[in-house]
Amino acid sequence: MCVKGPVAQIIHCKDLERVFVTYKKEEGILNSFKGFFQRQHIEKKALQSLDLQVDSGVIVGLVGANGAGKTTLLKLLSGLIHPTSGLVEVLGFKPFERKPEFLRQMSILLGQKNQLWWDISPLDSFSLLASIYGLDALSSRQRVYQLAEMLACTDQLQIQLRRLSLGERMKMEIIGALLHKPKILFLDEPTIGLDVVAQNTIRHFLEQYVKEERPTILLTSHYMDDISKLSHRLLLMKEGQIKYDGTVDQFMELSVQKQKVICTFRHPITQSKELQWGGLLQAGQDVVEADLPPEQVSEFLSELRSLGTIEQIRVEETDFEEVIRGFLEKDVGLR
Amino acid sequence: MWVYAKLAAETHLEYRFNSFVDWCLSPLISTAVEMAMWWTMFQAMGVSTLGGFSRESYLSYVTWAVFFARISANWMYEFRMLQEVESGSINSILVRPLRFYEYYLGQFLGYKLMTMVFSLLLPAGLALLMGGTTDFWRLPGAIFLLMIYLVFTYTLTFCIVTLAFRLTKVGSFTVTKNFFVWLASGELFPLDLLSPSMKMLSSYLPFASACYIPVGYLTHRLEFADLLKACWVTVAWTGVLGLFGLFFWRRGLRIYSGTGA
Repeated sequence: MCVKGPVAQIIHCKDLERVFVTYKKEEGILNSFKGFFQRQHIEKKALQSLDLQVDSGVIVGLVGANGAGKTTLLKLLSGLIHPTSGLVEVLGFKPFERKPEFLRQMSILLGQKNQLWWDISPLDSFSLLASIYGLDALSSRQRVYQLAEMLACTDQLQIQLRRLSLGERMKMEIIGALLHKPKILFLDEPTIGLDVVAQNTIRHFLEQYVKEERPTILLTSHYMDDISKLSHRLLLMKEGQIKYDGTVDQFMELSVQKQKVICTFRHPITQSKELQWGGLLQAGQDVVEADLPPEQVSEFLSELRSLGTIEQIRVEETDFEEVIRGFLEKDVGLR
Repeated sequence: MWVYAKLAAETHLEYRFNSFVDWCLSPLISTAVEMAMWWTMFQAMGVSTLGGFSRESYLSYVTWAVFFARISANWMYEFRMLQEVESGSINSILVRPLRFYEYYLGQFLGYKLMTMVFSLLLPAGLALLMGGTTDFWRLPGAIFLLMIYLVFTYTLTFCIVTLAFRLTKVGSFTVTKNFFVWLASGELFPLDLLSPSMKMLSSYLPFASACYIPVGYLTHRLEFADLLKACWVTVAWTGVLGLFGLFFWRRGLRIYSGTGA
């Protein structure tokens, strides 16, 4: 297997755009008849003027709400779809040309789609994949067992795929995706729908795999643990554009401007009072919560102490998931 | 392509009862129904010949026609291939270093070869039992034409499938095409019953290679020259459709949205 062009930069996108054309139909059978003769076409820009460079061996976490353009980006990078305009290069190839040399060096795992053969056993599927990728039968079989041991699923290799549970199937899909040792791996929701145990197994496996084989990975997930634990680099997407590009830690520093303070009084407050920091404390209330900038926390606590005896104070750091949620709900640009 | 043929064999062998019905029961029933139909027709009309051929000759034709029609039919794979595009499961093929055309052609031929081996026992047995006009020395030639036709019909299917990238659902094309093939292949009735002009037209179309030509050759209605001409006609149509298919495939991929992923 050889890589064409410079190895350092594995992905290069410039002014990348993808527009999907669809049509809309008003409710009801009359509008269905109307739409039979005349359709109201609409264009949706799934990606807009997107620039992206990814270096070899980096794990990039892609985060965004549904429809933000994450999966479209992965589809473009893996050659599943053509761009409407702009430049896209992966491993020095134009992915949409689907050259065998390119396809042999990459892999995409779509968490919501089966890519192995439903009617045969995983072992038969892997043997077929070995032929498709031109791998040596013996060494690919060894690799199957090595990966299966890491994922603790050796017992299921000979069972027809359709008879396996979702978690077991996903493990098989991962083995299938990694069998040919891809240089670049696109993982779209690899833990979706799995229980906590299966999620952890797959996350742990990916951590271990990345350490050992150093592939370049683009990962999307709705589970922020996947992103925060695995990614070196974070891309936040909104409306087809990258709104943040940096590390998870930098992102937290940029966006965590508040702390959650929860105070519990020993006795409920007897009189309602408007507080200096802006909130209203009702009579009978014994718990107060506030999201404050760190420099205002001590001032806030002093004010509360003047109102009664405080039994407990809890200050919580905002977690990654909450920060992301906050980002997705607000129209902010951090890039 | 061998690995894809092997995949088809492994898949079909997983479902034993379905394969038993497909390979044994279904040919038996369809042969019995067709033979009964023609027998009743001769009885009802009170004639001993039809279009210049005797009842025995027709029954011999029917026995083989059912076999060739079954083997040449490809609605099952056409449906599967259309589903791949409609549902987006084609994604798993597009991201691997394999060709969709080759992938399904290998499976289609693998499945047809397996079916052929099992289903051949019935018409061969009946021909031996009933006597008639079957010349077993001509069987390899007839099978050879059938194999060429299989590549043609698969290529036609491929063209229809490529339209699904733009039109999404094209199942009605399949139904219309199948009805035409049913008539034009000689499965429903021997093409000797067509008017001379229609028969002339059918000789320039590839569909008779599915049934009428190989069965006619096998049962001494037609000669080697007819078989050879049918081979060339079918190959030429396959080439033309192949070019169409390639063109529509490339156009289809340009607008494909990677459905469902």
